[in-house]
Amino acid sequence: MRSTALSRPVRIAAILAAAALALTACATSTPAPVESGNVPDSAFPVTLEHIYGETTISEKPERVVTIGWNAQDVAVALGVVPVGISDFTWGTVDKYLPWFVDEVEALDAELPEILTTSDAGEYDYEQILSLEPDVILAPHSGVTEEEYARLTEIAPTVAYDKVAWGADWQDVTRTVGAALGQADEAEALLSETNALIDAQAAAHPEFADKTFAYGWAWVEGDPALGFYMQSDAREILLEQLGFQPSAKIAELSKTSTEFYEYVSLEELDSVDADLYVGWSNSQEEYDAMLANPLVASWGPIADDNAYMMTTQELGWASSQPSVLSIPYSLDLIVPELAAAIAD
Amino acid sequence: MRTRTPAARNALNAAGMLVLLAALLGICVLSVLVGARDMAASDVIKGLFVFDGSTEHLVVWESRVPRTLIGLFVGPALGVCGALIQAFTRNPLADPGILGVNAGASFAVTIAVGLFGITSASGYVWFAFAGALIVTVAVYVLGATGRSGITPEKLTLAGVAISAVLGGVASAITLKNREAFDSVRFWAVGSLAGRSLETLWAIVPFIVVGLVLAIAISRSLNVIALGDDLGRSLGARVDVTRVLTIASVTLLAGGATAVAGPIAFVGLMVPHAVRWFTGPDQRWIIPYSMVAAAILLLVSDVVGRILLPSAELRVGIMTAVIGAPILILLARRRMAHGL
Repeated sequence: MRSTALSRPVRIAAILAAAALALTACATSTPAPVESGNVPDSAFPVTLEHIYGETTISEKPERVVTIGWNAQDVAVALGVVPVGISDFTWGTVDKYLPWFVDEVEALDAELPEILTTSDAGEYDYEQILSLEPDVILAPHSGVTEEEYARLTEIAPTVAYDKVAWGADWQDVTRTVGAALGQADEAEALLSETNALIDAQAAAHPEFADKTFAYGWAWVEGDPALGFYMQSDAREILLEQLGFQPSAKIAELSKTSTEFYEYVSLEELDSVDADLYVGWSNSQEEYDAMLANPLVASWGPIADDNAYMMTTQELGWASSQPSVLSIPYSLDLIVPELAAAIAD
Repeated sequence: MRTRTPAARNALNAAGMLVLLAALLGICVLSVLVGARDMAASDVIKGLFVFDGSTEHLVVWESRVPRTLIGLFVGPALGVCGALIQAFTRNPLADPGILGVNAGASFAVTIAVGLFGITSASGYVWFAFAGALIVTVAVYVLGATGRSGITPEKLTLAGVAISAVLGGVASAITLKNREAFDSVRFWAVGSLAGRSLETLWAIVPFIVVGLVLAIAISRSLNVIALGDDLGRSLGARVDVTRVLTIASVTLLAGGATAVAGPIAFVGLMVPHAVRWFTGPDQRWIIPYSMVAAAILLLVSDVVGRILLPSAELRVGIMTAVIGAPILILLARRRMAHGL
């Protein structure tokens, strides 16, 4: 919990800064040029529902801040380069996701600012304020109610729908499309992307009768192995490719309010799956996982029916599938999945 | 102070020891019987003795037995280490952390992961051990400088200061490289589960030497408790005892931390609680701490398994949850006992 003693000066500073901004905005009120003529005004105001209520966006946002995953990909795919996005630094990935960089370069635009967080994981509200966003989009994130309240003071904020960090990538695409007044374009992107997935699913009919469980690498000292639930985008993408969730994962998903659950190493055999998919921070980490006798004796690992993503580009592509990352990564991931279930 | 003849007190302490040993045996049996997997006692026994590669056999030998054995070595190491530190610093509330042992081990693991990219337990266990050793020696040297020679107060100050510095640097390194530290996240919490026996066997000799050393010096610690000068006049070799104490503490705390990660509170609480029963005689406090700490650790581990069967509450959390109320209860019943 943040202490109010700490947050009060920050909040006051934020209010003062907001007031100053409002004043300068009044003083230099030049009408914003309407560039995107393809956006009918009828799209706004748009009201979006999320876990903390409804958020109304009254006019086409020009300056967009995205928090969490996926939303930034959808925004640039729709031609809107955000002014601030979350940091995607993880192992082999430095700050920006590669497909995001490609798209921004294709638009001949500048890369957005990376939102910084404190060591305790707190957002830098003053930085977000200084970016002067018209809207803050966090449909695939874990923003808390408290954070949501503070972000709303800066700009209309769209939080996640039901489960923190557990969002259907297709819903995120539609939400961002609606928020930017480009719902039809978003729908078109979605159809294109889903056509790619359907083509891969059709090319691999053997996927359809295979069950899978998706998790992350076990590390020494952990009595359990973690698995993603069906609310998670990773699961959704694999299900779209034809795979069936393991019965145990489906059962856990019914009661879980998180996007992941743990299964004790002692009970790993309760997860009956033909395929194990996961990500790890490195090959060494995966090797150490395979050296654990309880893990090694578990069906999919024992039968060598496992696909572990050990580079973080793929880890990200699979963790936050989007209209950009799916075209980028599908050709890399699908052959590995096919190889993993082949005898 | 209770008024009992030394003979009566010894008889009482011996009887208490038997009760503790029986309790330890009981909790060991529970630790093998109880776990996330619902297994009948007959299945556990079959798993224990029939080497057929069945799931039951694997669960017993790769999950239940290792964590029980780790508790049986790490518990006594932590308990005795705490008893030695409390006697050594003449501070009834001292714990192994006060000499910087935990900070040294954690810092060395941080270096191993952050600078050398070592993320396997078999690799960083030696860093943890070396870190504990180096920092304890550094604290000792720092505490020994100056005109008054080595005093418990100076050692404590040096330990706390070095711990603070190392803790700060370690945090800075960790925050700059979070992914690398993902692999050691469970080491940093302190847990008996999900660890391999290989690591334990590599460290066990050090723990055993530390325990033997502690028992050997327990009589001298009794004499030193009277004060340095009185101790000397009674023939105690104060400096030799000090060096041996530090050596034992380093072996025990370094070994325990290397195997199970930093587990706080056991080293503080167990000898403190034990003293209420045994009185101030280190020859009883040390063996009592050994057994009582193993019991506390294993009970905490078993309760953690029952409370949260799939993910389990880590033993590092449970020791405080279970130990703290006991300590408060004892403190309310009696005046805090000095040394």
